Amino acid sequence: MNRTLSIILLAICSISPMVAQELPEKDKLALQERTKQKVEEFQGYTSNIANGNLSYERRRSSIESAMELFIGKGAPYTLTQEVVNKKTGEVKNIDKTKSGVKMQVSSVNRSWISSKPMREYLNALYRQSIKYADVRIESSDVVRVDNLHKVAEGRYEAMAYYCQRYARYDDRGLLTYGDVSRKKIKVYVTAKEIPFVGTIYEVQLGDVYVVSTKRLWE
Amino acid sequence: MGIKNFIISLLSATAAIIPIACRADNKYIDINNLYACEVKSVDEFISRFNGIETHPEIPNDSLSRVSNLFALFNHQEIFDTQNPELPVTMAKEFCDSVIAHNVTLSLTNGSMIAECPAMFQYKNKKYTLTLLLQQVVTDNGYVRWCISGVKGLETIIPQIESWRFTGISPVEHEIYFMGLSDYIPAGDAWSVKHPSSQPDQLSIFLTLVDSGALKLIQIKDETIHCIGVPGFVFTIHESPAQSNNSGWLMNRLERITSSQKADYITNLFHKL
Repeated sequence: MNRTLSIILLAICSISPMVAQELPEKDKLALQERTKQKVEEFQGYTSNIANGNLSYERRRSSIESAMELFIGKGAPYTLTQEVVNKKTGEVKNIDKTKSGVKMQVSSVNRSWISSKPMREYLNALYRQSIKYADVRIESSDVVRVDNLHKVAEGRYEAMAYYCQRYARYDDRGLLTYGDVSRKKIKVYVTAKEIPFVGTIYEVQLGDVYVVSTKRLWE
Repeated sequence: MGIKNFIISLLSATAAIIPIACRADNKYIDINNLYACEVKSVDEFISRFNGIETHPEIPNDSLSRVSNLFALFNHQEIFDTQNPELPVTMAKEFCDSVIAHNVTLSLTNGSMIAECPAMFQYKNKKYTLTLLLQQVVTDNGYVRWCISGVKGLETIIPQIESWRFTGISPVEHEIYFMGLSDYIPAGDAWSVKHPSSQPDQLSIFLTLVDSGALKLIQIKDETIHCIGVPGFVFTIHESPAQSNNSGWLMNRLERITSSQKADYITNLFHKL
């Protein structure tokens, strides 16, 4: 029996490992709710940015408000990662700098998915609201938050899932393009101790991934 | 209960196991209902599999547990065959095994292995390698994914599988093996390794990546192999569709004995 197989079989046979440091259920639900609100806020802003019926100022300010929701506000950000020395058990924190948050974009007219920095994506959405007579972005009521894991002291990561309908109409009100895309957002949560208040959780959104893009009409 | 009676009762009990695609002409897709039905994440798959959550269209009755398990199969891939009775029979036995053995899925107990074909660049050429990943729990309780295997490196470095052996002159020990320099800079080092030593691909892979010679371009896909149900192995894969049977679903089910599971894992880690 080779080594890989032995390791896997050992892992299967072993008692379920202790998943320590899980959040209490109450905090977990509150955090999921908070994350949902953030995703819904983002959905609201994207809908506003694309909505040509709103004023220039309102749409521009929606871009700025949307950027506030993201980790690093769209600029490069630093994440602290724990590194364990397997021999000595010593735990060290190292900082990893990541490029600004990105948004994956897709279309039913092409097979590939590309990535854009978030601000570039939101600006492109804004330009579309000028170029086309009517652009509408609607989101599903369902936002799911899963995989909430503690990744370091006071820091958690999760994934949020949502679905969005995008439609463009010409000046005669005819649909020129429409898709339904399913998306995933990485979520960063930081616990902060506030004197006299206790622990509060700050939720920030990360990269957005496209799961699928289908035509709006079957 | 006979399999036919079972299927009839299951079909009549819930519409959820029959995928309802939006097939009406020009039908404006109701994203709310379909998205609620979709298994949006592996976590949601596990929750429905373990009976913690339920498909929104499945009523809460005596059949709900088995109906939920049935709804986790990708119906198009598993049951749309010339003879659907065979896979349905197997799926029923699978559900029986899950319920009888009280099987619960967990990403951290080693019974779920992710397989990801990924595109890499090596010496200006693109290659597809397959990464095998598993979740582990660290000593201080954090959950992490880690690479536990890689396969396909022989397409980049054919010497891995080569039986070519030249060895070094038998008198070299007298001159402190100075002749080694003829092999190592010449890129022929593989032909002087011990003929029975078999280097493992993960170590070679990590060394190539670390040295910058091998670069990850893109992860192309993800399939999760689940080996924790007695008598069966299955894979789950994300299949977005405009239907109430979409998302992370079981797309392959195989009947297998405990001893065959060891072969299954060996093949998963070593065969392309």
